[in-house]
Amino acid sequence: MSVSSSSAPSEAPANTTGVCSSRHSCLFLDFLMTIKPKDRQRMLQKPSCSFFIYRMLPAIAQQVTIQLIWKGSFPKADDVELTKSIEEQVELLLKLGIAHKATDGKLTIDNDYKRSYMYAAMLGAASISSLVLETNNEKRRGKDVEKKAVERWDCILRYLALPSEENTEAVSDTTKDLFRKANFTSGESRIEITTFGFQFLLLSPVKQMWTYVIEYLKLEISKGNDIVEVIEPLIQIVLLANRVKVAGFKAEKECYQIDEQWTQPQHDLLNHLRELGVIFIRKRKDGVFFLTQLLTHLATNETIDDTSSEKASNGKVIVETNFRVYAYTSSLLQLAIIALFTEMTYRFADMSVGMITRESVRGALQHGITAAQIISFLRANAHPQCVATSGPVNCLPITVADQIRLWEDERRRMDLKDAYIYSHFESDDEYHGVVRYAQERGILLWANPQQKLVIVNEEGHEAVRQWYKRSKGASGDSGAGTSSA
Amino acid sequence: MVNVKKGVLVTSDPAFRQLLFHLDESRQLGSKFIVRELDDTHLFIEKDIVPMLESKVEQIMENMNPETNDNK
Repeated sequence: MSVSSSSAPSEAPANTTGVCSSRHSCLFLDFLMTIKPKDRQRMLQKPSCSFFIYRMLPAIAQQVTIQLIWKGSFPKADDVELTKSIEEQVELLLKLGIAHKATDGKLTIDNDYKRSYMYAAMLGAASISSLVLETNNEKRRGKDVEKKAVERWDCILRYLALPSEENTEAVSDTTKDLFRKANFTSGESRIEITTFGFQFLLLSPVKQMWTYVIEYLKLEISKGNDIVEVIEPLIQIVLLANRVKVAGFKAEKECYQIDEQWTQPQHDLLNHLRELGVIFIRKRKDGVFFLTQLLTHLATNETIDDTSSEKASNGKVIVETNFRVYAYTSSLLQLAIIALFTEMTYRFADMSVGMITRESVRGALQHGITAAQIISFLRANAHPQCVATSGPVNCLPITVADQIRLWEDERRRMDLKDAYIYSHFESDDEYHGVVRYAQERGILLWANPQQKLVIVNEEGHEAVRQWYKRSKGASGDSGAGTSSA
Repeated sequence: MVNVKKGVLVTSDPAFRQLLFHLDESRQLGSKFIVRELDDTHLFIEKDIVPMLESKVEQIMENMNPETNDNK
């Protein structure tokens, strides 16, 4: 343990805050599970990737990994609850291919991962990247780079929120393509925002940026490009995020060479990151890029970003108990998002007033936005003074939060699930066999022994059919467990 | 031989279930749509009817709700 903490001291603060997250919900890790095992294995072989994956792991999984690397085993917890959460995260490690389970149930660490992680841990985040740092005096980043970076990102969000002529021209074709493929927009000539698009707008900046990047990677896969080739430079750039913070004013002068040897997909990635505003390229012929503060978004473990102080400090929305909303902002983007679920009444130069009404909230709900999303958005964007007087939760009056939830509940009087119903079983055994099988597979929705009815969900139908085929073959009894296809 | 049918499982409160019964019996959606009455909170219905049913329910609930924003 001590070895790892001394070799990577910069990670310590980020990890300790993430302790509470027993369930992972990291987009990057989820994405990693979906790519081909062969590609994943190649990623585990790269020191930078393995190091970055480690950073994105939830706290307990990190502990388990470290123990497995250095000791080859990890201690059992004596607490039932803790054991459960450890098991969950061990499961995660197995899925990611970082750990393997031997036939006797013993856990071992992946050899490739072990080697590359140790290599990375010895060298540190900055030195494992193959990007070449160039400190110089001629090429300056310019003063308002940070502002420009934020504008770039806002441009993309504005395209989604207010698809007007002017905003459409401001984003690249790839981004438009990406949003369409991700199902955020629909329609060819006149684009319209979809449910998923709305939900995207309400996410925190960290989640938004990750969603965007993951969708980009998915797009690359669908084009048939080699995913590892694209992920590696991406991760190397993200790993440099600490430099932005540490370097401070020096970041002005620190730039990285753009290697001419890079393949087309890698250059595309760079262009894309430029569009996102996470890197800054003054002129293409300079052959160098600078880092911006936005890069830290990508370096943050998303599971812990909900409490981020940065958001709390720039909130601009005040909600009163009488459902009035005051937004002290002139940002069209912010106003557009607020207008999704409020009825705007007055608009002044630097503030706007609106009402949260049943109609306006229902309109948002009909677009597929959930009450929880609205509430978390209002809380995340609450004015610092509201947070100071009533805390991070009550900065949105409880009455308002409750009412928004009630408005959602009144629309949800019935819950519909596509399903298959099975009736007229030949025997009790058959009925119980199907029920037991469906229960084991977690596809059972409803069953009743008196009426002898079984309902399984849509995906389960095929499984039950297979089960029937097998049980017919294996002389009626189901428990035989022969997997002869 | 076991029978299989595709459809939609509806989970609702008993009061709402009565409303569905009413819609079913009065054939307001053009035809009957309840396949099976399962228990107090579950019904099995035809899949084709779902979009029509949803808009009808929305409309009924809307009529029953007092205007909340007329004092503005």
